[in-house]
Amino acid sequence: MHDIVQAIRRRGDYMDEKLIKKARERDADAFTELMRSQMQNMYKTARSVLEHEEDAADAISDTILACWEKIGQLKEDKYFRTWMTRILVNKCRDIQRKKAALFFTENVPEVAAEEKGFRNLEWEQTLDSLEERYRTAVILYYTEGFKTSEIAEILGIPESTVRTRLARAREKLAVHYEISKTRRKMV
Amino acid sequence: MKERNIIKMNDKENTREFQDVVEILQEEILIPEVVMEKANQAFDAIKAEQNQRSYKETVRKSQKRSWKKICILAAAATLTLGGVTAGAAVYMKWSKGLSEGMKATEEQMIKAEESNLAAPVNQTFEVNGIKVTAVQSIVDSHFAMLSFKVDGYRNICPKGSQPLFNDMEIWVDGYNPGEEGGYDTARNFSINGKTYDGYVVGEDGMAVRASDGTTMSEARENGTYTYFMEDGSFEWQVILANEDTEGTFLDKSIHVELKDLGTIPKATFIPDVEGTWSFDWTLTGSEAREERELNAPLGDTGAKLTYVKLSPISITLTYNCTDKTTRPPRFYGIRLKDGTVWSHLLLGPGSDSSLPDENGDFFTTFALNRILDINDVEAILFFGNELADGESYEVKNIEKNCYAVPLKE
Repeated sequence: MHDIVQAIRRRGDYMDEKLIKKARERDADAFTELMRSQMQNMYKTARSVLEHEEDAADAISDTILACWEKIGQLKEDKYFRTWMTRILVNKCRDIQRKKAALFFTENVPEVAAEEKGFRNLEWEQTLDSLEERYRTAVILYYTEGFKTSEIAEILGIPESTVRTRLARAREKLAVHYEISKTRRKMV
Repeated sequence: MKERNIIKMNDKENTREFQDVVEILQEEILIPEVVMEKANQAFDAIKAEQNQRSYKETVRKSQKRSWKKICILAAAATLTLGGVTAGAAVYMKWSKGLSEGMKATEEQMIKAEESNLAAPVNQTFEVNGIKVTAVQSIVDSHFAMLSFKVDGYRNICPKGSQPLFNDMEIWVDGYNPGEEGGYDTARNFSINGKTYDGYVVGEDGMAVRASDGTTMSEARENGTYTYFMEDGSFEWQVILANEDTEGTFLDKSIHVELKDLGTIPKATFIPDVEGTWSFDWTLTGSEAREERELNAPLGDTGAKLTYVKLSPISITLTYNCTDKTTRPPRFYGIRLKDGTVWSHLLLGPGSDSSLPDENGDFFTTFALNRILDINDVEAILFFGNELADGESYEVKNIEKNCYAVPLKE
């Protein structure tokens, strides 16, 4: 299964390489297509760092603009996703810092579960069962497919810390799974 | 991207239950409306910026945030450069993109031909009524600029759309970087294609039409912006780059395949003419360069310029910063022996270190947007102090504050 997934990934990366090359030539259409293809990845990563959708939206739009401005600095096309994700995580942290600096934070009302749909609700509950430092590592590793060394680079932490976080996250997710399974049985 | 479906099966802790949890996280989720709205606003802003770029605004911002933007915008042109040598005549017919687009004087073109930097190709391949001619090449130790003339498409191309090829496959010395199976650093190269639109960057950095100085927004307003030449053809330019290794292209055989001609009206390529136009020839070029190892401090920034390599069409710089948190000053341009300053020279493609290596070295290699007479270059210039808040962009102010590093002792 891992081989098949890797083959699909290579094919996907090959398609993206063409867009990356065009984007580096300041082709706005190619850049837009490239970044649109990353929306799922970006949202999941941003949401793993930030609690509210609105903040994730700001971080993603800032990241799109920053990537457009800096894409000429990308040394090799193959590092595009790592480079973009690092920018995104930094944008998320900027927003976190700004919010932390405020004396009063606006209390953003939670969107009703019905509006989000069950699919997102389950996803969010699973994600939110982890603390932020574990969430981001888990999303980058299990859904984005980054290596631990790449995650270390993106988050600016030692690789050993990434491995520790993943191990702890696995334990916590197992507990979450047992609890939610019990709840489902009770319902 | 499909890689979100990856389940890493090598975890010892992996149980069926844990995999279930991971699969939940890997599921495709609905992206909230607010996220899509803000993302679309960003995409719109980018498109608007490209369509009607206010250069001064862009430069003011990029002075504070990103020097690279200046460099990328700086595809410049001026019609005032240099004089024509009396009685001289170029031997071959240059493409518009590589002559007016590179601001080449007739004298420079002659020198470029005599040194083999520029060479004619003159191969034509016709498919489905579209005639594509490989016109010429300009090749140095890191870059190869190729020009193709495309006839027969103007009447098919939707009005106002940018004509382009959907794909290109290029083999140099038998090596194609897009082929599966192996990656050869020394032979690897990037492929960049664009449609020449007659626009270059003027001395003040503003994009202007090379033929008459019309700005891009003026041309769009009065409906004269076009990718097509008077004879109905358009020019497709290709730049190949290997910034890390020298000699990838010089005297090497090249095979070019241009595939499917069409437009991209809304981020998706629409083919109008399907086919493959193929060419084979041997790239000739020139290794001419001014090269110096030095140890020149750039003001009091803590950065030193340690290496310069200047060819007629590219520049390579190495900086060293002992304090690894320092970024070296940005490359501004060159000063000629007669005192003339040329800025906005970096065309791209190119590469630029965003972080220093373990020795504190930063590396920059870029293709230039004009042909240089390297013997006439007196100094390399780097931006001095950043502009203060509210200070407007003035070329002369920047030149006054530049750090100058002489190219020759």
